[in-house]
Amino acid sequence: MPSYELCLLFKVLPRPEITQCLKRTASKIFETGGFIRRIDNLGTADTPWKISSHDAIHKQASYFIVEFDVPSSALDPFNNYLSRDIDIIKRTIFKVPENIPQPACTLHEELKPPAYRSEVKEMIAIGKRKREKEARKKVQFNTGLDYMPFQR
Amino acid sequence: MGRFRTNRFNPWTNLQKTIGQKKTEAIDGDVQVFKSEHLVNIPNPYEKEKRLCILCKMNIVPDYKNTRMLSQFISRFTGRIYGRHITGLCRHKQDHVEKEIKKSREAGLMPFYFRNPEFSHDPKLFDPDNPFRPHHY
Ligand SMILES: [Zn+2]
Repeated sequence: MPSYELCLLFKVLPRPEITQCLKRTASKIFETGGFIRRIDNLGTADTPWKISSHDAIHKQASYFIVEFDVPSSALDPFNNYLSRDIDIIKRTIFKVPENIPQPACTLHEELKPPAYRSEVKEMIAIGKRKREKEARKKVQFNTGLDYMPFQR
Repeated sequence: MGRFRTNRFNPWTNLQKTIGQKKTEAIDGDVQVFKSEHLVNIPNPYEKEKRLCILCKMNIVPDYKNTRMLSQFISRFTGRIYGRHITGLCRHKQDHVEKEIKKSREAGLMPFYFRNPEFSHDPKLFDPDNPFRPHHY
């Protein structure tokens, strides 16, 4: 089961109702055979733009982050369920990336003059290969003469 | 010569020494053996110190929930993400930051067309008028 992160924007509601909403969402995750790793409350804040959902315009929302694991086949129905919940303004599900090793910093190489940069060297090599290919395509009259005996 | 550290080898003085050495040897006999303890297999004294971008230096992995950090990489007036030549990030970190900003906007955490006014007076990590590499215009 892959890990997912759900960014939930609830309507601004009193505390007990928010708990109800979260419980609903959580129980839906458990129904699909998943489990919850963490729930973060990011608090109530102004939304960056006016969001209209379920026939109402919202300028404020309570932000929650839910980290959970569900089978990937259950994700689409779950998203559909959230879209029909009228207390949810907006929801976005992201896949949590695996632990990718961070590559070493390449800034030092990138700040070198163009002629010393490996990517520029590569580009020059590509151009050179292309020119060679075109030169090979050109017809060569192997007459052994340094002039053109026939009209072209 | 202030830019050379004291413990570092100074190329000029030793160059003078070796030139003198070479001359005396040539006078002494016909066998010329170039003996030098310096100038051979030494690291380039002119090499600049390796620079790291600010995120690699601080060991920060950009995350879409950290909107305050991501807001430092977008324009205050247009909300556009600054390019790599302005931000001074390495290729990987710049790509990562751009991805996370887009995720954050998609999730409704960050605006598209401006920077959150709360973050207007955050410290500046770079100057767009004074980029790391020149602008293409
Ligand atoms: Zn870096």
